[in-house]
Amino acid sequence: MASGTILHVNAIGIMAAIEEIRDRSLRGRPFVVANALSPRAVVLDLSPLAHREGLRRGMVLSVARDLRPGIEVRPPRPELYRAAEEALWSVGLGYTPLVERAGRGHLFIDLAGTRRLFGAPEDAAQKLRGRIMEETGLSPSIALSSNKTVSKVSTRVFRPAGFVALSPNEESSLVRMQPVGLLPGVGPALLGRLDLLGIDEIGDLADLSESEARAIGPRGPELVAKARGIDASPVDPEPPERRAVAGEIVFEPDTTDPEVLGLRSGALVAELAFSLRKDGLGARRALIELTYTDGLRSSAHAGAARVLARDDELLVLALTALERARKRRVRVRRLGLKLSDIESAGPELDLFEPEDLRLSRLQSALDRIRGRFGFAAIEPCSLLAARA
Amino acid sequence: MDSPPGPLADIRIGTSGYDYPEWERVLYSKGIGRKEYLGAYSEVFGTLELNFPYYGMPKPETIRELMARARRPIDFAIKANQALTHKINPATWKDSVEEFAKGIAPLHESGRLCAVLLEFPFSFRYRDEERRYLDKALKALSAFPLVVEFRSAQWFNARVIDGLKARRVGLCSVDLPRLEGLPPLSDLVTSETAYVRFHGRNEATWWNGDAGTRYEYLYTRDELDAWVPRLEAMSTQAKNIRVYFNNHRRGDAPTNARQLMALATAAKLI
Repeated sequence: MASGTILHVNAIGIMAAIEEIRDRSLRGRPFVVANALSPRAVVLDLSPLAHREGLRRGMVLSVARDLRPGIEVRPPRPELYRAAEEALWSVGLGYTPLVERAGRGHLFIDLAGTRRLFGAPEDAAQKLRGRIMEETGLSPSIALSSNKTVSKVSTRVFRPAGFVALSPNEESSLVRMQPVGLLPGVGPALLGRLDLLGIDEIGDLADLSESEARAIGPRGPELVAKARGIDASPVDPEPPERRAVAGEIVFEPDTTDPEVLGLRSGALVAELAFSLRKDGLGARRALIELTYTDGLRSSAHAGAARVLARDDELLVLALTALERARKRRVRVRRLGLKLSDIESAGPELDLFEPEDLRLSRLQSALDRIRGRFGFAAIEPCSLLAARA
Repeated sequence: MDSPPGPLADIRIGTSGYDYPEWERVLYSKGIGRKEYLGAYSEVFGTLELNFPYYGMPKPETIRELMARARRPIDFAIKANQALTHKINPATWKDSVEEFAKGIAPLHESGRLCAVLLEFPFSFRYRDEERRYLDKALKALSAFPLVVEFRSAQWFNARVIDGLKARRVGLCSVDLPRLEGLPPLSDLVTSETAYVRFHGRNEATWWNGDAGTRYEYLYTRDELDAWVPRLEAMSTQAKNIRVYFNNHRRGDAPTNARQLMALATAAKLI
């Protein structure tokens, strides 16, 4: 039985791992990485032992200290982490140009066509693992299968520092038995909803009918396909900084009206965000380029700390960039918007986050209508008025 | 401050069993006598997996005698008796645990017991009854360093893995033929002790051969070489790594064990 060729490299806890590599005395001890000097510092990363003791990423440092008095705190060293990520990327490129960055410490690598150079995919994967350890000291979890979803689920099972290689006829049985929370795209809130429906394992999700899949939400059918181990998305070697979706508006007539600029930007954001969500993606960065009536141009961008997928979140980002870009009181002829730093939205795309339930439901309903009847099927009234 | 590099884990490589006359001229000198085998073995390898306790309950005096025969203080893994893994009698298994525990106590007390291996057969599936039994057996034997080996792929799921981690029980990585229903090609450290067993990759005899021909296989250098990064990755997570070759026919096990030791030494893992 031959293994698939899609390798997922999952360097979970890359910050803590690097701190351990740099100081071996930390090995086997609980510690966290956090900027202790910041008044509202949060735990950026933590050692496996700290995790076992109940601490979590994103936890406020003072809470972590209450839970585990005397916990060792190491300050973050972003330059080291960036260098390690670059090294991971370079090692992957030594085997094939088909290397995709998929978030912090995550790579997808397609080893198809490398057999004559590096042997069978499982052997190539081991060589690559050895190179990663040699170059960075990291020992990530790695998994081979025929597609990105199965490989990603597998590294979440065989972690940390584990390895698994699956042939196509082993994939379904292994994936089906895993907890549904390990399926990419199932976040904490959707997990709660699935729990109410009695869906505990990925196999339970895979067995849903088409209509049952739609009832879960707009991404239900896609999730069910993934649960069945079906994922045709290719490994995308384009670096994320070059990956973007873009669109433009030409104002007729030219305008200086901030309300019109804002409303039309909102429509463009909705269109671009919808195209991202269909692929389970979100963006971290918005770039606005303005062309004025006199031909002069200006541009500005805005960034977010996490991947944003909802229309309202991305609109805030785009409007921030617009405000920064609009430095002249001259009529605007053209507005270009580019959403970049695109990544898998993962749990962030969960449409049932309790704190934003109303907005999430609205987004879900809009996506469902647009998915069925086309993007132009529904628009805000204010936009119709602006066009009139 | 950066720390100096060096081996992260105590890695020892050996074989499953040692008492094979056909290993003469491979590992033992011709005609040295079976009582000398263990002494000779201990001069080459630092660990040994004892599989005779699987067939018959170990006796404390037998275990003491074995320890005395080793010329160097090697450590031992012990394969649990079949009454605990293959022929489980719900009425008597607790008595079997007691008898087994008493038998291996001298080894445990001497600090030379590296693991008790519970090898469960292919027929031991991921079902409620088996899950409950596994939980009870692991509790009953929790005084010992434990490792489980599953021969069914059904056990390779996140709940089992998390359960093993919580109980500090090792998951045995197996090198065997890639046949449907058998464990996937994988490795993962779930306790202080990482454990690897090489059963050979003889697809033709796995289901159709006997206890001997099933394990008839000599690993190539390339196949062993692919294990070096796997051991290295394990060494970042485990304190001890124990590796045993079970392809005992014709002396293939000690041959391959020596080859892997050479590769691991060259990679500065040992």
